[in-house]
Amino acid sequence: MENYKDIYQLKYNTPLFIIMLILIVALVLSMFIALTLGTTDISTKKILQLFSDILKGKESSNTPLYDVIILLRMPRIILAVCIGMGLSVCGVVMQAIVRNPLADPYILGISSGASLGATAAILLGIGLSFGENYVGFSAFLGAMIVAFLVLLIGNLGGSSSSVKLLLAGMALNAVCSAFSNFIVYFAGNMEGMQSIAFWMLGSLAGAEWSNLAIIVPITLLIIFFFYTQARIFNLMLLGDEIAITLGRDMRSYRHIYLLLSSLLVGFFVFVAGMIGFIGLIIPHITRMLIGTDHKQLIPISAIVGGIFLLWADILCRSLLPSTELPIGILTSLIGAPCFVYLLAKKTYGFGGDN
Amino acid sequence: MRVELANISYKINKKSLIENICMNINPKEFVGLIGPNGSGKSTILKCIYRVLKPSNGAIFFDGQNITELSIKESALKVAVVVQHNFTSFDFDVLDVVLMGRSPYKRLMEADNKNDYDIAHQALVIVGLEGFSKRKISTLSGGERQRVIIARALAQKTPCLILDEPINHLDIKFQLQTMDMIKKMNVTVIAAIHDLNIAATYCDNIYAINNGRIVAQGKPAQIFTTEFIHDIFGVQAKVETCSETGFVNILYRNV
Repeated sequence: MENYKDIYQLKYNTPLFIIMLILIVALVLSMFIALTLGTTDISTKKILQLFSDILKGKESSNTPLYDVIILLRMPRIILAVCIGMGLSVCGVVMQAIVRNPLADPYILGISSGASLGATAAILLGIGLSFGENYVGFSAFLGAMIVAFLVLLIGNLGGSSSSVKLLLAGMALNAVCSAFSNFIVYFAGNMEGMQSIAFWMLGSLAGAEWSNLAIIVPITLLIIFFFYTQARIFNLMLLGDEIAITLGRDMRSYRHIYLLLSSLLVGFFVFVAGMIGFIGLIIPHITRMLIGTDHKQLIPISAIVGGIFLLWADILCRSLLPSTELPIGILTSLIGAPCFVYLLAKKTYGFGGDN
Repeated sequence: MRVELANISYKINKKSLIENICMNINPKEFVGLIGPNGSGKSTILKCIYRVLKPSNGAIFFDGQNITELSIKESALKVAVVVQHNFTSFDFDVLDVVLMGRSPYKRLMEADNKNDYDIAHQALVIVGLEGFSKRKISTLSGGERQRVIIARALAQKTPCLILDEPINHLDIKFQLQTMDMIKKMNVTVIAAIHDLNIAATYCDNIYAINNGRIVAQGKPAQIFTTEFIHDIFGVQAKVETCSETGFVNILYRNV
């Protein structure tokens, strides 16, 4: 006979706390290890020395060590963790919004909107006036426009349901892909096509302190906001009607969540292109570990996602001797086998009737 | 809680699903809605629990028009047991029962000891003690139904609405569930298919056909051979059990 008080103690105090602690330690350790790895491995001692010099205010900003650690590796590591966290949480959110375990952050047409934006920028030069990262900027615009259109179409002829949103996303997806293909086909620009392909696979090489200053706070704020909404996400999975009987009307919530996660994904597209798969599998891996309750699912999948993308990026930088592997290839390459392993090992039926 | 339906209708695309429904349900009364499939029972219930908005008429909880209540305030007055699937996501049983406490919670507020006590009691009442950590996907249909009932009980409302509450249950749990709901001593409005169950447990019956109330009264007044034939189109023999005093209905054929 179980004692429910033990469950109360257990479930909501001890393991979550321990899991969080272990994961945070793992994340910090990984970040530190990541600093040492790269085309040239730098010893822990040197890095610690550099940090203590900086803390003491010693002038050290002109050394090559400073350039590599502070200007190259650190921003990239922080960006990897940040995007990993954000994409995982957006995956959780999207899966709840459309009540479908196959959803990922890009599902509601955001990916095709972004790639149409990028294609137009690369091949037609649209948005050149936006400055250096005009491709990212057009992609961001494309993603946001599609997100708004999905909401608009989803609300035509009565209020939106998750199925309507999903179908609207698919329709826009088709339209955007058609336009992208049209541009690619008639531009006949091999070099351009290659840079589109590169962009579509994602890269964290564009990390700089200046864009981190915007992206990190936005990511943390939006993740924290979603964390505060955990109760709503739980109810969302039961469906709109049940949620009403439990005192919440989901429609307005769904719109806000959709816009916020599109915004976040749009920012990620802006700095790093599209990094697939992570937003799909990290939520599932986390559910296998700790269950569906969003109060735990959101923070833990954030940290797991951060660690995952960080290690994926480490491998990207160090796997091939002379060049860098696009990170989108690696996330799928590591992610899919991990996922299959977990599927086979644990009885995780995606909650369906099995 | 007193529930009044004043002349409510619900139209979709100009087609009336229910028309001029009037009900006056006293506090702690056990009211049954009977009628064939598609007669409008669920539509009436959905209007009461605010998934549908009546095209005409008004609904009052204890004299207060429900349009003046927020969805959250309604959820403190009415809990609903309705068939639903748990979609594609798996929850622990305890998590689902605790969702019954949502209307009491502000967004960030965590479930406290009191909520856990209430959820645990609800699980004991429905006979699922020891199931807290089980996944919903590992339960049988009947057990899932009892989880939903437990969630409604955890909501601690003065009124319960039940739409086919015992469809998935075996006969023992049907009777146990109805006994249990009867003992809750709250207002109950239930759509029930099984006429014998309705006759045994309801204080008052509303018979619905084609979106209208066609009869209303005590089970013994309502259930007659002619009436059952008129509404459901089947032959039946109606007896009053000499031991229990309840109406028994024996079906013959169509």
